Amino acid sequence: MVHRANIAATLRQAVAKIDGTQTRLAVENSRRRLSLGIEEIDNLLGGGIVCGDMHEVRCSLSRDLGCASGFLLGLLSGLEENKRIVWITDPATAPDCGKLFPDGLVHFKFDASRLIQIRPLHLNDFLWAAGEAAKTSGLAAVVLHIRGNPVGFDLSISRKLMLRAQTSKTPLFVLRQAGEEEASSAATRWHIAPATSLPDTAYHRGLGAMRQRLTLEKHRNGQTGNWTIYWNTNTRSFEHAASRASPTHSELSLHPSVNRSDSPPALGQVLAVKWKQRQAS
Amino acid sequence: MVVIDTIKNAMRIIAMAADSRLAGIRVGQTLSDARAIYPDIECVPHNLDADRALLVKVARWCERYTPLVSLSGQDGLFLDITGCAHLFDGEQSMLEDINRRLEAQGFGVKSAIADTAGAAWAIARYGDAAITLPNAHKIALEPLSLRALRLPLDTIGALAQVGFKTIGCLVDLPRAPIVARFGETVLQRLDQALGSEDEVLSPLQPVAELVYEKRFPDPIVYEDDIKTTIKTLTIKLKVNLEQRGRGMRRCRLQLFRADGEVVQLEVEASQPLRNAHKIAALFDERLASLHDEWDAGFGFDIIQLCVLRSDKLDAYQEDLVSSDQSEEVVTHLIDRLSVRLGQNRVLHYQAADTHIPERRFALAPALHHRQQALPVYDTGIATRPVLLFDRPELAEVMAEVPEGPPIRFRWRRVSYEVTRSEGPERIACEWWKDGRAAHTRDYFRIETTNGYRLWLFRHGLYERETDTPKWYVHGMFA
Repeated sequence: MVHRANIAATLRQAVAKIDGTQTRLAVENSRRRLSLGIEEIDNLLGGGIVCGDMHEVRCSLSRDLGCASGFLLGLLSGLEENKRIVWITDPATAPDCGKLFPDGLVHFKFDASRLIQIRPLHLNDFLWAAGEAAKTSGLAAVVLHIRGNPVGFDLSISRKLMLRAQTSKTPLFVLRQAGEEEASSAATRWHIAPATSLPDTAYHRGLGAMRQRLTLEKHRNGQTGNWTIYWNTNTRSFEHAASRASPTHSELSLHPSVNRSDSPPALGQVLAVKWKQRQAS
Repeated sequence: MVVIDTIKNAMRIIAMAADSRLAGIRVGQTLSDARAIYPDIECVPHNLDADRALLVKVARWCERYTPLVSLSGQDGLFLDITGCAHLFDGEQSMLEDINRRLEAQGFGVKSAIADTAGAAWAIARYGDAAITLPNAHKIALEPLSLRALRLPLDTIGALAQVGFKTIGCLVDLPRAPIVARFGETVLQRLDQALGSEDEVLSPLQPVAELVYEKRFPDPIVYEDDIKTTIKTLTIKLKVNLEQRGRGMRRCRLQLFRADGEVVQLEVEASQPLRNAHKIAALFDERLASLHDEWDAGFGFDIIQLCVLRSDKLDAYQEDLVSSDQSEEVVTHLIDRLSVRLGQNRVLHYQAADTHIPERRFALAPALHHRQQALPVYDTGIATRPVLLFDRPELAEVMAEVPEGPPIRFRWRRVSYEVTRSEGPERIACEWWKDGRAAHTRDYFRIETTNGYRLWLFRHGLYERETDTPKWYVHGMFA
């Protein structure tokens, strides 16, 4: 069943498309939602991801950070354009992640002059700065770029940050580089990995739009999924990549979770032996 | 105990403790003579830097009396107390207060108040009156030795040879012959002492535009008390700034510890600011950033708030309804983060006029640079990576010779195979910066079999610039 709010959202988008004032930001019941541009995902999320909540974008390897940043930038470019974005970088990420390159951000229609980059020296300063930024209401978004799963950034901290974000209505994004799945209070958690793309439509030897494999790992209402997407600069939104297999790679015909580990690693440690199995044997 | 230094190729005593056991020892004596009298005399080599550091410390402390404190040679301080004396119930009690407090810290003090810096210098060292009344300094100076004029020793010697022993001898003499014979300094110093020529004292610290201070009969120790004081001072400051139509950009808090230490804390604001709560909040962050690095000791007896720099800030009406104050909120966030984390940790992009990718955009402190539009290179397609490495990373690449794209490569100890590539895009070096021998770069955008998109470049044109060009990975696309 399609939700009534979704119909309204789709209609509004359709009108905006005609007017040429398309925005991916919609307001419903005093909650702003940011749509990804892909109907299937937006419907799953109930119209888009909720601004003023915490969301996590993670990648498994450091070299996937380009993709993960790209997805995040795509999301951010749909937010208010006149407001600034605070991007706080964990000191541990510095050696191999490089810096955001304003010339490259043009692809996401993202104006790099809006960025306020904060590079604290210690994780404690990082968390303090994150807390301060999260409770500031005049920002378009706050991005916390961390590496791995630092001990200091735990469930209680993430809960505190999310409560602050909810009060200030500032969207909070965690960009987790080379990190594992972890229990957190994020409303959604996305996993990004690169996928092979098709050649350019105009020039068969050229590079087509870069594709990413997007997995919704965690969502409040329990529905998850995975998709292959690409960023469309012209419409300023994500699009579902064509499902026909790439000539160089047959990956797309496989189950979308083919790139992930065969079973999700269990959270926490197993402390007790499974008694039922033992009794049965 | 004596302090020794090498003067005229001999170890000489330059200072000594006031000690009755050292009878027969005097300043200027050689160490060997002194050893002949007291073989076990304790001597310390002269440490100029430590002396100066101590003098600067005392000078800082003296800012409790006036903001204009300057150093005089290696052993003296000038305090310009114009307009300050009444705050201490007159010159007499001010001088007594200075002497008492410095002596309590263990210093020997000679002090004098006079109309000119030169006269005060002379009377403090060679005179006996502590306070010279206005316009009475000429009479007070006349009986003093020529040494009181801050002249070089050989000039004094030359003047003594012709019979000039006191300042009074010089006062009424014709000027031209003195200049001809002894140089201009003699009359310059004389005029400065008498007040017919101005002497410019350069204060140790730039003079604040506004100073507010609070004195405590009993020193305060607790952080909460200090914070409350800061709040009351900022509220006073706000009123004054409002009248002047200005807002503070840089502010310094000076905490005078009862035992002579002075703690200085500075905060800066990216936009003119006069909201008392916001200024106080900046100082709260500054205090928090100190962690345990400061020591209240026996407490602080004076807290001074100085505005070092202010800018024009017109009056505006604060809106009760819903006006968009987000900009102000963000500015305050930048200020607070900069104070707490350091201004080099809160940055934004500034454009540079160059085409070399890694030099195009610099991260500059958001506190000092305004947000500016960035002239980006926009071709309509993604030709530039999202993430750029500060230093291009070396990769082992197999590529077509001489100018072909990479076929496979090894980067960060992982092998990749290239499926598609676009390039080369040639970016020439900046020969005016890097020199003529700098290599050209040929950039390729490549995609690997597992979907990674990277920006690689070959450094150097094959055979024309180098025989073994190296390859680098410079960025990641998304």
